[in-house]
Amino acid sequence: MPSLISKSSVNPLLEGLDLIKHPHPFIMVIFGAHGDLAKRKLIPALLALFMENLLPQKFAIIGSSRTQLSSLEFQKLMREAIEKFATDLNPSPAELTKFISKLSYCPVNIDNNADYLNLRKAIQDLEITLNLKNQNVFYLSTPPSLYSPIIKNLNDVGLGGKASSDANIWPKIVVEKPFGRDLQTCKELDNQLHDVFNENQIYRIDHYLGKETVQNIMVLRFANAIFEPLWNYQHINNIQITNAETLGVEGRGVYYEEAGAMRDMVQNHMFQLLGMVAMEAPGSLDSEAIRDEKAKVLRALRPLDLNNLEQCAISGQYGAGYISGASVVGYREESGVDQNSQTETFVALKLYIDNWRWANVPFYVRSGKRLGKGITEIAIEFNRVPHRIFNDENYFGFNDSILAANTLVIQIQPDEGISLKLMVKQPGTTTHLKALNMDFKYGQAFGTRTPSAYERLILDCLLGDSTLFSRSDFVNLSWAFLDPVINLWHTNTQKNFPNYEAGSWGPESSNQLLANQGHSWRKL
Amino acid sequence: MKMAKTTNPQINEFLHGKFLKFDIQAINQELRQFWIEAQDNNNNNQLSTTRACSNNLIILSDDFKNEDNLADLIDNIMLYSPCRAILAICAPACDDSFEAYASARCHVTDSNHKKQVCSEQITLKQAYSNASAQNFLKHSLEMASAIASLILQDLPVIMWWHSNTFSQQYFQPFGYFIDTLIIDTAKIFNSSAENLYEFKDCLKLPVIDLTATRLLPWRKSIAYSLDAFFKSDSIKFTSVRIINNKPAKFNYSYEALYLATWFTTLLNLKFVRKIEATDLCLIFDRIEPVNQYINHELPIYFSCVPNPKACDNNIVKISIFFEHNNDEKNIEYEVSNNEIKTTFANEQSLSKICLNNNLIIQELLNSNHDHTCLKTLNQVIDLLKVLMESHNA
Repeated sequence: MPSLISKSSVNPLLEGLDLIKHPHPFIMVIFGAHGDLAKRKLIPALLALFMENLLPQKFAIIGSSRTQLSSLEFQKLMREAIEKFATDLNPSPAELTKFISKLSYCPVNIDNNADYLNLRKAIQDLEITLNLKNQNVFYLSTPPSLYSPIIKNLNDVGLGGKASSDANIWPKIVVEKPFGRDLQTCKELDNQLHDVFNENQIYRIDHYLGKETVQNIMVLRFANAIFEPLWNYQHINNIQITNAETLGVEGRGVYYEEAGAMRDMVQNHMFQLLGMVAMEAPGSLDSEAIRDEKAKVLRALRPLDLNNLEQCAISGQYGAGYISGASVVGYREESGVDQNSQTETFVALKLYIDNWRWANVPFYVRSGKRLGKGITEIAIEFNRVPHRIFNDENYFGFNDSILAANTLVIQIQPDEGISLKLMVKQPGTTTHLKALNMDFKYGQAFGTRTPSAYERLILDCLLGDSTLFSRSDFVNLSWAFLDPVINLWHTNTQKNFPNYEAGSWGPESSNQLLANQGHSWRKL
Repeated sequence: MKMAKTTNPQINEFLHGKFLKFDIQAINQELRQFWIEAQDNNNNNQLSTTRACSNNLIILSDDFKNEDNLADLIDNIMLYSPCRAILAICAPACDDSFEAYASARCHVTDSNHKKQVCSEQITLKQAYSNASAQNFLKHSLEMASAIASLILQDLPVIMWWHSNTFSQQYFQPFGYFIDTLIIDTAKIFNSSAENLYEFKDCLKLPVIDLTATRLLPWRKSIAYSLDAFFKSDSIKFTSVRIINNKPAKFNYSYEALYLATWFTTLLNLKFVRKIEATDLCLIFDRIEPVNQYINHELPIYFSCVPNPKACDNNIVKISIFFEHNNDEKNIEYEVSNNEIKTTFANEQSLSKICLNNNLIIQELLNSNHDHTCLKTLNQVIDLLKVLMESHNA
């Protein structure tokens, strides 16, 4: 028999192989499986991962909602959803059949403990078939009001439970935003989650973080030596983060009445973008290191002056107008919306981050519905040149001769990419200047299909990588910062709503917010 | 290839790949003109054309018959990795001639056929009637200088050596400006093993060996299935058996030899001798006196069993025998319906194989090239020399 010479821990045969991690076998339970999110995003994302061979051999997906369906009926529904919403995937019939065979259904009335016992039985049966033990993911694709009873009932029937060690991160729970509707409810939700799960078992999905360009912000900043030296108050004049939607509330009037733009977009998506663009370089790509740095940004936010709120926070609500040549109704005429609604559909903020890097650099954040175009971008406007040798007057006041600020734009949607505005000389015998954009578009530079945000996030969750998920302290900090503003807005019922036309770029006061600093919103 | 129509007949002709005969300067001029006119179209709100290019891809072939197939492949490559493709074919003919063509490769990116992304393909065809060594070098220099003048500056230059044979003399002039060489050493070996010895001198360049890429599913299956044993406790390999699917010229296939060399190189073993009976057996031993992966020597057996089911990959089955916690164990890997079936302790798992049609695309998209390829290639060529010498003797 060979003698033990040394104990090896590194597999030499892995050298040179692309180390794509593969998740452990799992059973995923999707609560709200009959809903839109599951049909449009979750099931197509799981199918895409399956087709890419990124799921383990052994896995099962249990759909669950209060609707009474058999597994066969659920499979048929999901097959139809894939045909309708996953048109870019083109699975072969064999692939689709194999994937669909992994789906089953267990009806659960959220408050009915007996239904959870049935769910437990369904999971146990699958565990025997797949030879698994407690490798479950519970995906809460339900209205947030249902999170609490689901968490409680999962725990009551023994499906929840804190992981015994850092190495063991099962079971996992995935929750969709909004994470509470203010600081208090957020803390309540956190407490409920933490009663049953450890923080490293909780995955708060903010799908913006799964987008390719958002992940590219870190690469752009920390893998290119030219930007980071300029990434501070000495060279950056202002930063504008815009989320403009042409859509209205699209039948979600009841939900939106309770949420508003601040809760729906700013507290989560916009603050995540702010964190990515303003954070210090993390020590490593470790998820905690990155999330620590993002949380520090929120801690350094200068509190908004509630006594002069209009100087730093603007709210708006759209009235009737025109979008893409078609007339649309105002917010108050939307289904499910109060005709005297005071809910904001537009928010503009002027923020300052009080730290060494960002001293007195304004971060302008705006998010609105029914605006002129559907665009999400981050624009970093650099300082202008300190001395102008190209004098406009010598060129008869040509607009092109005005020196535009260099602007780096990170486009998040619809066309993910990066552009840099530069001044160049127009060809000719005279020195006329022109601002041109150097463009990079993801779809053009890389011909490959870009995975959806949900594909990336679901895979990360299965792998136990929480980098692209919101951590408890970040969510709490964002609520703590915005709560006073939301409260003040909601106690003031005399807002002059609606104050912008659908198809415009928001209320005039949002322009004034920047004009006070000598800035203006980018024309999009 | 899907292409949208333009109202400009010249651009239409160009977009649809009608070849126009030009000299090199004319090609550059034509390409410039195309993009100017495409820009005008954009400005006139007609068909919007975007130029895309992330590298220079030179494909060097030695057979005019390959032109159509390679053009189709370039079309496919452009979808995934937009590039300036230079298809260079140098082959014998009755007369000396040199032709150059340019065309655009476009694909529509939106359902309304309003937007398309285009890249350029330039085809250079060099026919020669006199294949003397001196002329051969001259042809090589001509082709290399033509290609050098067509390369887009500041973008990586990747050359795919598509010929079945490899000539150090012909390759040399290209070596000055290419960044990465893609080659299929199995193809070269099957043409002439001696060609492969010449190729060893080129291993100073980053090399992507499509043989290594083709063997990736085997390598991954082996590496992943043994991972738990490497991590949990000591593992001692006792023997390996590799079965090829078709009788080769020799009693081993190049792929089988390559895989065995990959395995032993990464385990820090060296070839010591061969034993030839019914099957070929190569014996590997420790480079250092101490090696935790074998106790004394590791025999690797090669045998040939015809198997029509076995894809293009000519390894059919691998068995790895080892000791773990003083227990004798073995894992088997077998091709089954385009998948590798891994069997250990009566449990099976599957991993997909057969990436052959997309090997080039896969490599072009992969920015982290496998550095073990170079180590393995060096070893496998040395091993081949020994085997060939003994075979000739």
